[in-house]
Amino acid sequence: MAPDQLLALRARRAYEVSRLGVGARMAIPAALVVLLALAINGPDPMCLAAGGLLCAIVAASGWQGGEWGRAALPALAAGLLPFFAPLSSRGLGHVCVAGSCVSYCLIACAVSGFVAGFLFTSRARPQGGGWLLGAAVLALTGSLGCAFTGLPGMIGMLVGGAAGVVPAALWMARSPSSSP
Amino acid sequence: MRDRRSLNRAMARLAAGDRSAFDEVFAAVAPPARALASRLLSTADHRGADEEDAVQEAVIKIFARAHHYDPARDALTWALALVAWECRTLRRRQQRARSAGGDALDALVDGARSPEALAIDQQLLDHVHEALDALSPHDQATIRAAWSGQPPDVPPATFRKRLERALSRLRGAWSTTHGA
Repeated sequence: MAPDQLLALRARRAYEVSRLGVGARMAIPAALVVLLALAINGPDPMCLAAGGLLCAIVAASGWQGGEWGRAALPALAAGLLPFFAPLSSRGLGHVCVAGSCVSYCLIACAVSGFVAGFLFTSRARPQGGGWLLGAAVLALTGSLGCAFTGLPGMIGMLVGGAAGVVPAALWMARSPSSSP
Repeated sequence: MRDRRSLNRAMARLAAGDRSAFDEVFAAVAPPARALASRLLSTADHRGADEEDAVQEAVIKIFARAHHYDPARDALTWALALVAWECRTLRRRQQRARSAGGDALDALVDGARSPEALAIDQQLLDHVHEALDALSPHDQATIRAAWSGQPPDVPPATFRKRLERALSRLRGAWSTTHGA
C-alpha cells in the first residue's frame, strides 16, 4: 500500500474511533435517565429493555452524526416531559365523566406526549432520518416514565406525541425559517 | 479563497459526521500538514522511521479531533495549529526520553574503570589484608569493627583509643612491608 493510502487509512480509523467517543458521550444523559427510571420503578424488565435500547440508539446516532446526531438529544430532552409528568400525577386518582373513568396518569401521558412531540418538532426541526430517530428516542424516553401506567398509558403517550408533531410540522411547512 | 471556503464547508460536514467529506478534507489538509510536521520534527539525528511515524501521528490527530472543529474558524489554520501543537508534544516526549536514557548512559560511562585500574585496586586490597593479618587478633577485630560500623561493646572513648593504637600498628606493619 502506498504511504499516502496508509496514512489515509490510519486517519480514517482515528476519525471513526473519535466518532465512537462522540456516541458514548451522547449516551451519558440517556443512561442517567434510565438509571433514574430504574431507581423509581425498580429493576423492571421492560424498563431495562427500553432503557438499553434508548442508550444504544442515542449512542449510534452520536456515532453516525448528521441528521441522526442532531435529533437525538433534543428528542431525549423533549421525552423528559412524558417521563416526569405521569410520575408527578401518581396518586391523584381518577377523573370520571359520563360513567367512564380515566386515571390522571393516563391523561398526563397523553398530554405530555402531545407537548413533547410539538416541542421536538418545532425546536429540533428534524430532517430526513432525524424524524424517525427522534420519534424513537422520544417514545422510549417517555415510555420509561409511563411504564407504570401500563399499556394504555404508553399508547396514550405515543398517540399524544404523534398528535403533537402534526401542528408543528404544518407550521414548519408554512414558514420554514421560523419556529411556531 | 474559493478553495478555502470549500475546505471549510467540507471540514464542517466531516465534523458533523458526513463521511463523504473525508477524502476532500484529507486531500486538502494532509500535504501541508505533513510538510509542517516534517519541518517541526526534523532532527540532526535523522532517525528516519521515527520521524515519519511522528509526522503521521501529527496528521492523524487532525482527523481524530475533527469533531471538535468549529465551523466559524478557518479549517486549514485550525488543522495546522493542531499539527504544530502535536509536534510540540512529540518533541517534548522525545527530549524527555533522550535525557532519561542519556543520564543512565552517562552514569554507566562514569562508573566504568579500566582493567588496569581494577587490577591495581585488587592488588592494593591484598596488601592491606596482608598488613592486617600481621596484627594481633585484638587489633584486627578493632579495625574491622570500625570499618563495618559495628557499635563497640566498650565505651566510645575506650574504643577510640584502641582504634588509634591499632591503626598506628597497621601503619607500622605497612611501612615494614612496603617502605611507605
